[in-house]
Amino acid sequence: MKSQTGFAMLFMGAIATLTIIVGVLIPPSTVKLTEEKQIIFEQNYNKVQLILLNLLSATQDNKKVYESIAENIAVKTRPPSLEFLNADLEKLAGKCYRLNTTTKILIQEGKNCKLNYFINTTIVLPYNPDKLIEEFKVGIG
Amino acid sequence: MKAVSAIGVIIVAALSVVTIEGLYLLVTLENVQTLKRSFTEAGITGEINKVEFLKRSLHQALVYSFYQSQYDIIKLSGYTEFKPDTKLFNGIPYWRTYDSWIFQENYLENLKKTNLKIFDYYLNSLKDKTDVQIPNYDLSLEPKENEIKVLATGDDKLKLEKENLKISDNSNIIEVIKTKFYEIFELAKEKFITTDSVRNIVTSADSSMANVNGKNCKVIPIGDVCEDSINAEATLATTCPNADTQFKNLVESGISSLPEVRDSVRLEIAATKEIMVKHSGDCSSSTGTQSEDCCKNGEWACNDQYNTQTGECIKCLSIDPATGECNWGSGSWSFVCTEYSKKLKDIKCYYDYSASVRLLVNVFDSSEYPVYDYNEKSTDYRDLQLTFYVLSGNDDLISY
Repeated sequence: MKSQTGFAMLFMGAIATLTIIVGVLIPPSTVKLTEEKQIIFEQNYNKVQLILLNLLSATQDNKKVYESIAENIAVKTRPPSLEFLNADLEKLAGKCYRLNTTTKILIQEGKNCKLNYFINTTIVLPYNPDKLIEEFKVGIG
Repeated sequence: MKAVSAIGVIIVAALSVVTIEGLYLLVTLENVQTLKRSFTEAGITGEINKVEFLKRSLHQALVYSFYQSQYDIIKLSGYTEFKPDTKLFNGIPYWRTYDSWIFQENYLENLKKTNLKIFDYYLNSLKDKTDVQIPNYDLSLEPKENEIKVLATGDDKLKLEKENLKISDNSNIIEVIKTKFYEIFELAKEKFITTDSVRNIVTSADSSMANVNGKNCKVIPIGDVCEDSINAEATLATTCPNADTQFKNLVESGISSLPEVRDSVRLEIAATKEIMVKHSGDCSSSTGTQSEDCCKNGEWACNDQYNTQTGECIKCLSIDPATGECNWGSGSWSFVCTEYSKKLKDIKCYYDYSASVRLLVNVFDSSEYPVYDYNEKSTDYRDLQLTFYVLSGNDDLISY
């Protein structure tokens, strides 16, 4: 009888301990992990936006990167090269990125890598009555 | 005892479940709040970034609209469009026709108008692609040395209004654009409007005719000459053969000195120039008196016997002894002056040379801008080329 009571007490103690462990540690960490993933995604998304903003505001040889991209898209002969962007993008985004318009890929690194973050924006082109702006997309792995 | 133990286990289990759920709920609620705040912050950052992206595009739209408008205006010689009364030659406007000049003093105003029009096209395109409210703009241009400051002033702020979110930002845009647009117009104006360089060249060439290869073809002294025998053309032809060609060469030489480079802005004259020349001469003297050397009118008089019936001058050569009659032969005539003219002293012939010149002038800068050309129907890097005709000289020998 005593042993039964002792066993019950022991069992209750075990449940209580388990409750504390499960209740205190597991649920918050579970929720936290999910939230963290979403927040990290949002933060990274914003980070990619900032990368793009910084990129567009930067200059190369006294020419705005924005202009180089726009003119690479619009100018018929001798469009400026965008190769110089590779070094900057690699520093900012690693070895997996792609800059493209709706019709062509401007630059790309890591053809088979998975692009997790995409930023779409509108870029203003040099004047052409048929096309003043172009959809511009940056994908980063 | 068994029952007590079982109830105890159930109670502890129930309490445990409640405790776990409570803790879970508490943590979840707390995390949901954090998550909500984080998402809101991320959302705000995203929307702010959206406004930032738009601002960059507005800046670039202003730059590209300026590039295009300066290209269009300079291609039309400062006009926004040619009017029916615009004097054109081969489709290119005259800046000068002799004493009258036609210069678009308001070329900067025309640049501003075109710039604003093209900037509006860009704004309309951007408005279709963003939920940020873009205001209406006005422009002002401020030319400085080798650059023009373009200020776009919005009548409202840039605004983005969403549920629980209102973002507004300064909409004014300032761009300082490196360009020789102003310098190109001012160089052309200085050369052909403020001063008439072509007329100056012609006038200078006329003066230079006073010493052509050591000969004075402007003033030719011919000494004392009867006033009726003066021939200015013959005098010039004798002293300065090919005077017109010499004069034309001087004008051409003067025109060849017109091209210049000023701080990378180049002024060039097209090879297809047209030059017409002429001269006029006049010989005169201040003093002179009638002289026997200068017979103005006279008649032939028979020195022997004038036969009024036949109009012959006859002379009795010998007498026939048999008949006592004359053997008549031709008599002699002599000229008798009845009216004398003046003999002018120290006479000089004066010559004036005139020329009209039609030039195709091209003023340009080698800097290139990405612009659209309506003839070629493409966007490409092109330089600024100001092209116009100048028709000038000291006489209107060429019609326009």
